[in-house]
Amino acid sequence: MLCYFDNTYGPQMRCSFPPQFIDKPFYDTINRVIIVHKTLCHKMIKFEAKNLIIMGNPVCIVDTVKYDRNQILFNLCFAIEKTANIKSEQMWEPILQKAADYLIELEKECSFISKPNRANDAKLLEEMFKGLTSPKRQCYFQAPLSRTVVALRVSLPYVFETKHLPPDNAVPAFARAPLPTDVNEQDFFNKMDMVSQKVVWVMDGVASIADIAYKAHIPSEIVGRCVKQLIYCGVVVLLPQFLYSNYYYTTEKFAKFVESVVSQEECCRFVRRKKKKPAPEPRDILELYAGLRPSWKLAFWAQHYRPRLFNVDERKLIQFGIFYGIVRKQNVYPVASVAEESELLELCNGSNTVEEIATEMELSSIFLLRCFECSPKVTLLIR
Amino acid sequence: MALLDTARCPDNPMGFVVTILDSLHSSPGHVLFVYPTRQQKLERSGSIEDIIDAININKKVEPLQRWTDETRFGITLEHFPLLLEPRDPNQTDLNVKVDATRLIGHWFKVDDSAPGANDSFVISIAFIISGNCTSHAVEAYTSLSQKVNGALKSLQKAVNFVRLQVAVVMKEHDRVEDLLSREEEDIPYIPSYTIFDKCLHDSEMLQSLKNIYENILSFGGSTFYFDRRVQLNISVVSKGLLYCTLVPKTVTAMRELVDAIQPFHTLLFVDDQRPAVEPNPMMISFLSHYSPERSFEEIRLLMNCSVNQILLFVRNLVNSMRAVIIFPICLSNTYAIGPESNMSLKELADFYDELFPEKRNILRSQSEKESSKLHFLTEVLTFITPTTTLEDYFINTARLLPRAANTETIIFLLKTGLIVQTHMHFLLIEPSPKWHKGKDCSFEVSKRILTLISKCTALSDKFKSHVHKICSNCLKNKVPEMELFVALSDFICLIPLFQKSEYLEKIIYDTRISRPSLDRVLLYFKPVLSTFEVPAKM
Repeated sequence: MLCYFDNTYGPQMRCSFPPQFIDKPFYDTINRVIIVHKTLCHKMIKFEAKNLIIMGNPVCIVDTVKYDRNQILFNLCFAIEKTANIKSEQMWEPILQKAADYLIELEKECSFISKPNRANDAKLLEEMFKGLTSPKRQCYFQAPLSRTVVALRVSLPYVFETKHLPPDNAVPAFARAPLPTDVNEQDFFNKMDMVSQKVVWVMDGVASIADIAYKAHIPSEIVGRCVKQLIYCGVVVLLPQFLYSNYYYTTEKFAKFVESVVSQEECCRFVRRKKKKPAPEPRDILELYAGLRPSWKLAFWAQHYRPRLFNVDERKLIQFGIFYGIVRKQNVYPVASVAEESELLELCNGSNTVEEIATEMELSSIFLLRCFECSPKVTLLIR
Repeated sequence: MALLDTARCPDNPMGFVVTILDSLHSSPGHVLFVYPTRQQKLERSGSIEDIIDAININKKVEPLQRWTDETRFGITLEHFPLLLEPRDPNQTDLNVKVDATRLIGHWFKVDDSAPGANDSFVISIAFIISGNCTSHAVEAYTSLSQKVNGALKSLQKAVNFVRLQVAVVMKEHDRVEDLLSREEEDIPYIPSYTIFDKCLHDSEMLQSLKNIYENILSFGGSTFYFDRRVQLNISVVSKGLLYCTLVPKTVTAMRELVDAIQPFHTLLFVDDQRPAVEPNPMMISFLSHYSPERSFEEIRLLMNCSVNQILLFVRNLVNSMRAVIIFPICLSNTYAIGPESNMSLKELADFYDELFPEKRNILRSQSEKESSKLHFLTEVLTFITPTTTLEDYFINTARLLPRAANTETIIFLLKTGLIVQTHMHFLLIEPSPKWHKGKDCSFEVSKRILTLISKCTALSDKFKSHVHKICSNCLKNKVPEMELFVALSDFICLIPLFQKSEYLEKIIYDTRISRPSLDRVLLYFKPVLSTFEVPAKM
């Protein structure tokens, strides 16, 4: 809705879309927070009323010559449904900010607000509402006798924040479909930076960051930064590296997976190893996941349950499980049992995993794990 | 943004504000009190304009005329009442965001002191938190302000508490207004903190609110008393006793836990020591019968009270973060090593050594002592690898690590999240193709077994044929018919629970089936039952 301060009647709602969405009695209860004092202008103000969140960026333009009261106050507000997710309302804030800036430009150019034209106002709001709620989530509007084009586009909220660079042994996997490398996603691909454009071709959900750096001939730190940015944009998630010496077990979410036939069928399609053979049955998948136990190596599990007999790719099975939280990887923490002055044993304090120690000592994690398993000076804690 | 690079959690409160509004709206609203009374460093960067102003030292700052022109948390004091005024008579909660500041609170109306008096007013109390807080924090502070609101309303109704306190505060405000309204030109500017400090000194209500705020900031919650009459147990976020990882971290998780409490659960007190003697007779009775090995059902029978009474009592304890819910500790429980937590193993090892010191005092160097503490705890945890029943744990540790062979160690490991209890779930599943080889219904089953299978409505026809095959195979393997019949009837009774993939303890509690009977069912009908073990969920 578009509201302004009328010199005679006070705070008024000029128009809204859909029309009559906000009735006058309701508007009268909230107008004091929509058309505010000039000290509260140019701030994003959001408040709740009647299961709605009303948000706006009130504007005050001061001009002692042009306006009767030396200033004009107006506010373009959005009313969105109240949800528990704060991030879903945050994505409208930049839109409102930009819309306010556009209205300031329109007012300066052709007195869009101070010389009201109901048709133009209604058109603007209608274009905004329909455009921003459409699948493309963008709108364009050009007021008559104006050169300013109101162009707004909603971008998804950035919810994935990571503080540190991802470790080199982490495996980035795409979190959305279609992939950026898809033929129909050229727009999306072209907007990525050069490093991302090189790196996404090598990302297959199997290669770790170190492997990607090697294949793409880019230093691993740069690949790490690129992956961190892609995580921030929600394109990629990090998975632990798949190794038969790892330990995995099912989490509480497995009970929900058992009830969901749709998820089981999706899993069957995903983990199918050879297309020529029949796809695995949901019961096979459930049996395989149920076989994962804490502190049991994946190699033993594979030997016991023989997933390939069911035409199941165990790597994809674990990947699917970790992605959806059904499976959790346990880390191995070596703890030194003797107090010796040794760089390696000092790192074995129960706080560092084998992978972290291997990275620090520049050794292979598999080799280090084997050494720890054979050493009487170190106890392995799997958690 | 206010909180960038300050390492301050965005869910921590920055302050609180109390405003008052004449219910007839005949005069503009009034800020009664803001805490902290003085402007804090963090507030100065409430918006980008404030940051620019702070940097722009050449800009001439206009002299403030009245204390209401002051800016706190990026908003002038004059405009706080506008933001906190009620907009819907049916909606008492407030949630307003201005740039990077969020105000969450409640308002309530204080009625006329006497019929026809026309002195009713609306009081709003809002906590100020960062605009970037999580939705859990919003829920937590909404719930907190609702409780505070409820306490104040009850006090107002009982002893006119709020009206009297507001009168005390307004006296100071009126005194200042009177001073400012004089026509003398040399009245100095009176900053707001001068007024607020005096109000805080005079008003019990503001002191209580201040205590709530300070405790929430430091500990995440506590027990408060308003006017020494109304007790409030408040928890916003779990901060105290960081080593107890079982305490829910958010209000939503707390609510889920409270909703999931059942009579077959029990609790663990978060403090290492039991609560001190309280005047609450329910607590005294509870403590005299409580043990982590007893369920609420058992305790309530000893206490001679109803299930609802004890569950209500327990919910209060959990809501105030004094206790957490677990399954009763018994020898058949299985445990596995828990996931990583915020506390390092070394810190936990030191803590364990402090709680359960080693009796033998062998002279060792400092590094040897440190290493032995850590190694001991690791050794204890290896007895839980991969999963072990409590009985096996006690048997093994009694032989090799007697210091750890006690329930207190298990409680410590549970509280710190080093171990988690696991549950064995059972799922009804079709037999594998491998099992079908060589199996048929050639061996004739008795009529009563056939009738049981055919009359079972919970199974599909395909499943019935599998069960028929299983029974035929069992009889072929010389299982007595009577035994098989009893096992089959138990199996059919348990089918709804198997279809929901319930865990062993719940199956026994719901159906009161004996353990040997259940073991028999699991043995004979193994081909159609799949088991999986996952960490226990309340």
